[in-house]
Amino acid sequence: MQETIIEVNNLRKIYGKKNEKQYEALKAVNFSVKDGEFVGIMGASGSGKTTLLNMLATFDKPTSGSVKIKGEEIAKLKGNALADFRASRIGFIFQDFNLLENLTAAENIGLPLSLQGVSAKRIDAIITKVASELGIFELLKKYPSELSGGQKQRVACARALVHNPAILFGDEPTGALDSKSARELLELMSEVNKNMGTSILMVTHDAFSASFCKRIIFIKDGRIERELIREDNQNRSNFYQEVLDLLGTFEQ
Amino acid sequence: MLQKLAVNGIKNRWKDYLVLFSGLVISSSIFYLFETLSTNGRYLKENGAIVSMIGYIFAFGSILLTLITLVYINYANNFLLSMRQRDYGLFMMLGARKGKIGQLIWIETMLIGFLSTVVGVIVGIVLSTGMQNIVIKSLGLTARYYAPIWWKAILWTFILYLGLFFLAAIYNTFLMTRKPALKLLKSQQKAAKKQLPMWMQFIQALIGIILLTIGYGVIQNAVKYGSKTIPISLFTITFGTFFVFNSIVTVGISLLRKTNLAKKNLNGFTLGQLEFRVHDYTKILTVVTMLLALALGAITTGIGFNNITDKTAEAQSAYTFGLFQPTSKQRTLIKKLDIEQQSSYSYKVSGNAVYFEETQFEKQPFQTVKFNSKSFTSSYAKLSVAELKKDSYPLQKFTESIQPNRQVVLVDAQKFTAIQGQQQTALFFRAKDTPDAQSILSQISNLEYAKSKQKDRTDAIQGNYDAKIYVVKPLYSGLEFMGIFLGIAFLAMLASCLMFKILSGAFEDVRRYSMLAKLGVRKSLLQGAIAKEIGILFVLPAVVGVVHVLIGLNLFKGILINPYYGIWLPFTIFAVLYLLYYFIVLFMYQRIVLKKI
Ligand SMILES: Nc1ncnc2c1ncn2[C@@H]1O[C@H](COP(=O)(O)OP(=O)(O)OP(=O)(O)O)[C@@H](O)[C@H]1O
Ligand SMILES: [Mg+2]
Repeated sequence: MQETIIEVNNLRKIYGKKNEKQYEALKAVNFSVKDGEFVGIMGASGSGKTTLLNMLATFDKPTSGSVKIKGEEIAKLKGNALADFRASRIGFIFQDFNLLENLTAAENIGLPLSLQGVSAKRIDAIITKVASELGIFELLKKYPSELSGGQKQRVACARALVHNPAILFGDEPTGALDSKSARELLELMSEVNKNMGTSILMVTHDAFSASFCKRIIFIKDGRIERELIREDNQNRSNFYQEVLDLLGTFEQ
Repeated sequence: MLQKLAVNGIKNRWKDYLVLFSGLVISSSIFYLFETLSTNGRYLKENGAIVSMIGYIFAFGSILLTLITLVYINYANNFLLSMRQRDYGLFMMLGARKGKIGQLIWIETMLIGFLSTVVGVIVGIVLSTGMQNIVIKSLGLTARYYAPIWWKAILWTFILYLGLFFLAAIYNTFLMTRKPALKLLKSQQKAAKKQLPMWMQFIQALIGIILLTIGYGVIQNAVKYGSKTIPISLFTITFGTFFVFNSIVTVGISLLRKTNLAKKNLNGFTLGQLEFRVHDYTKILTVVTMLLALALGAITTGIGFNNITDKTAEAQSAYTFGLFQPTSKQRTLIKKLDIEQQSSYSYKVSGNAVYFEETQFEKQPFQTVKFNSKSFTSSYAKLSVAELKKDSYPLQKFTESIQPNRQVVLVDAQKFTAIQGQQQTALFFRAKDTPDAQSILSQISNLEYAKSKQKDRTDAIQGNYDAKIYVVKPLYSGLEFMGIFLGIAFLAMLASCLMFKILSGAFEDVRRYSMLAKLGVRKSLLQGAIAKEIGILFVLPAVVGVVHVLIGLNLFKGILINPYYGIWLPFTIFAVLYLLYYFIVLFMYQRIVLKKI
């Protein structure tokens, strides 16, 4: 029996202050993610995907309800505890990469380790290891401005993974990539998920990216509408077709 | 339509524009302040009489300030461009014509330039009026012929600023219409510049050190180089400072980045920030260093003139006052003073001489003063009767006011009684010259002057107090005013330079720091990183600037006797102000950058 890594209960998010115009972006969301799962979140634009992810990744606070990561209620985290939680438990890949342009790829990747007080020697060793695994060893000395979009996203992926987070979040990580780079990144993430056992939760728009997941949660108007699970023996292109079909019915 | 969009862009970023605008206003108002002194020939001549090179000093000060203004406006313009490039790039992508865009950016640049200069001059006039009143009142100085509203200064400020903005507008138009729209759109994603090779850095450092050595050498031998001292030293020290910063700081940062220290906490990030901006920073570091040196130097010298005023007066004689036939009013006033030494002699006036009795001088010897220029202290020596008989000038100095053109003669008691004429008293005393005592001393002085037979008050100097008020102070107070005035002006310029540079970077940093927060960096670490990054901008110029000042003070050896005397006072005041300013800037920066974290 796998243990649960994320548990979401009755999560609600209302944007806008009391006296302003309010908008309920999430309405009573419930779901959980098991350790080592690769979960996709899909839904139309404005359905609340980013809102949900931001709350799971501790970037935003829920209006009500609870989110537990590894049993820890994250809404209760504040200040240093919150920062340390982010630094040790969470990895995040953004749509627009969000690399620090004043640091080289290697320095970007090593930053989470520096923050945890890992020794310089070990940092170098880990960077080398992760970079070789992700095939970006040659890029380590370069600055983000000297990298292509796909390369940047791989560096960002390496940065999100160096510190062995319990869970990796991605908000449309392939959104700014061409199809070749997108496929490379997704294969990379699948490998990471399989080999390192890192749980992944990824928001995505397109069925192709979603077909790499093992489970897909569909959101509509702030509610979970459906779930789709890839059978153990089901191959990816088959699952891709299933997702496409479902999206077709979903949109009607 | 496009105009509307452009104006809208300004509205959305009014905070950034406020930073830009206020920076420019401060800069132009200070330039105006400086020019009210520098272009007022009569004022300089009247007040700077003992500094033969005063005109020169100000001419080169103007040149230096112009250079600083150049760097400043260059920054301001880059700031403006960085704000607008994206907007205009976007308009172009949407199909706006290049000619129209060029026109818009031209108008925008000129408008900002014109408005900030006009406001700057008005602020400058207000400041110089206020400064004149405050400095003159609080320090009891006189600055004859100084005029806060000075048309020449207005003219020069307009010529310089509008000229520079005209150039900037042309440059901006050129840039906007030549660069492809895509480049403009992506202008924010700048890459770090490639570093120069090591040997080039080494040569730069070498040139820098040679230039500094030359500059320092020329200052040490100012007498030899005469009027060439100022231009040579200004040129060599300014560029020497720049080269040293540009090489040593750049290399230092990149070396530090390779050490293990860079892999600890946010050090790597801070060093990355610094290296990323170092090319910008070396210029600002140079400017801040020079301004700091000028401000600290000017204030130190100004206070130096204040010290020397008291010390010079103290060295005029051994007595605060020599009173002849003191009135009862004077005697009651004296009782309120803190008397250190006092003696009273009888005298008679007969024919062409003033007679004193020598036995009285044996019992209470007459004193003279000796001034030690090294320790800046006065010591007193007792004159024997024989010495006084040989040279009666120390005593004669005092009788000239009441008994002009009469010889002072010392006679024995027998002769003294034989002399016809009324026996009168002369009272000499030395009192503590405290601020509280000033009004009493002034009353005594006026009462004494009422008895005088001299027309000119400077011929009726009855001791050190009169000497201070009527001879020494008028000589130095113009210079003291100048020093303190310039010191404050340079300090304000320095403050605005630092503030401007730092805040203009703050807006770029918001994204970076929020990124770091998302990576899980503790807030205290973020604050520490900011404190370090800004600290560097404060510490480096402070260290180099203080060295410049310590060496530059040699220039004033001739006038100030010992320019290093009492420098702890201005240095401490300066350090406190500087530190305070650091915390203000730090606080503002953290508020901007960490607001949402
Ligand atoms: N800060 C905010 N203030 C007010 N409303 C917001 C805010 N952020 C999002 N919303 C609203 O909440 C809803 C959900 O937004 P969200 O960003 O989660 O959508 P999404 O599913 O990620 O869409 P997309 O696929 O386009 O990225 C939208 O209707 C949006 O307008
Ligand atoms: Mg989204």
